[in-house]
Amino acid sequence: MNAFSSLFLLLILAVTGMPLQADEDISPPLTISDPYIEMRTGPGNRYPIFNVEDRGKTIRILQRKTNWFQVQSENGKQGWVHKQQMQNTLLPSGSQLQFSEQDRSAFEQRKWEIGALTGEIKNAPLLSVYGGYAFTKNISLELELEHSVGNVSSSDLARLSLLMQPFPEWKYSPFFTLGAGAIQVKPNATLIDPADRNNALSQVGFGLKTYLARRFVLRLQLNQLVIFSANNEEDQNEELTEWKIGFAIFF
Amino acid sequence: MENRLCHLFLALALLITASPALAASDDEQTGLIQPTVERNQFDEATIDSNDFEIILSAGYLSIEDFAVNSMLGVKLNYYVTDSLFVQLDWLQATAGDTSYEILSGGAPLLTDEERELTAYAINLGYNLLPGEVFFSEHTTFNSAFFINAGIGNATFAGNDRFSYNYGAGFRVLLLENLSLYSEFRNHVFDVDVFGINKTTNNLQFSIAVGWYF
Repeated sequence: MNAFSSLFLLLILAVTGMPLQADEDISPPLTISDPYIEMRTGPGNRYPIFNVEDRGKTIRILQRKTNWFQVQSENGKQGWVHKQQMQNTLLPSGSQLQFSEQDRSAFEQRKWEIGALTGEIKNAPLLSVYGGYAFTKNISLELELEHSVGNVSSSDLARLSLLMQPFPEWKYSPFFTLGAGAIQVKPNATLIDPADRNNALSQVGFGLKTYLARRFVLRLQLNQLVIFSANNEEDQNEELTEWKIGFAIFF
Repeated sequence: MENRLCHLFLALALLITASPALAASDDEQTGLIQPTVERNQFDEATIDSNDFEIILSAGYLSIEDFAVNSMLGVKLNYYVTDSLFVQLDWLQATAGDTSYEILSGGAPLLTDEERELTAYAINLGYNLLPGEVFFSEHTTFNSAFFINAGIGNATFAGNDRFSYNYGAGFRVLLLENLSLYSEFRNHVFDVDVFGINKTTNNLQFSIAVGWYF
């Protein structure tokens, strides 16, 4: 198992290790104010409606999956109701139930972003994962781990970059990055005299982010890398171009 | 912390409003006007939200030319909508002997370390056919037939190999948050162990258990 693979595994474990919500029944009774609400057998609009609750009846929320809420009616029936209908139920105070929208404005307010990208670096396919923290709407810091597999070698790359997003409110919001990191190139085992090579690198890039839905962002990026490979044998630094496309989830 | 405060506030609000008669008599006794307590403090974050799923799988991986081998895997699903999900996928298997190695009885083609296959991938999945399974007269489980595909990396025979995979499976929700899987996938990557670069199809059959959180 290589380092990248174990990091990947660590990421899975880190996410699953996040504190779990205590699943006590804490929802207050919600009064239906639509003429009726439809309860489905599963979380999705392709599941059949098996029960309808009239206006004035109350329901309680048990859990949520994506935009669907599992609710329990007064007579104990459990089913799934869409967020749109839940928004028209009333709290005991008489006010409407409010959900914070996971929409474009939430995206602009985001603090954390994790994502995965794929593309090409010097014609070799690559896969990368990254995590970012936004200090302001415009500036965030990102750590990215990237793995690429070429014909004669594979490489692992880690970099820290500063990302500048001048127009966060645009639908297709451009950004610029400036970063530094290190690359490890491993020649294939079938080659003669394979020796690993470690070098520092710097990077400039630009790209676009666009909000898709819920917590989802699409990201496109083009980078120019300089690998500081100059040594006694070769006195040229290596320059590479890479492009990437992928998605991110923000919190 | 904020959550806990909200809980306390909510509990307090409920306590006060649950005894209106008491409050009224208090008013009469003391002649004080009780402040109206706003109870629209319901915090969305207190809803138990289950958009992630961790999946442990076990099964068989047929590594082309290297026999059929047992495999173990772990996956993490994030449900973007009720139909669409993204997936981190990791699996591990140990390759067996090729027919040539068995017949010739000669030197093995790969070292033990090179026989270890690990693969990870990022996949996109879609619940193509959501449905229900009628298990008995009174027991029904929600289910889904899903398809997914993605790209990743497979480390095998000492080298990293770019891979892509695609597959389909069936998920049954046994409990509210516990699911059972049966899945079939194909992992495609190039192998150059025999001197030529050869695209291999590596079929995987696995069963798995998933937990939503």
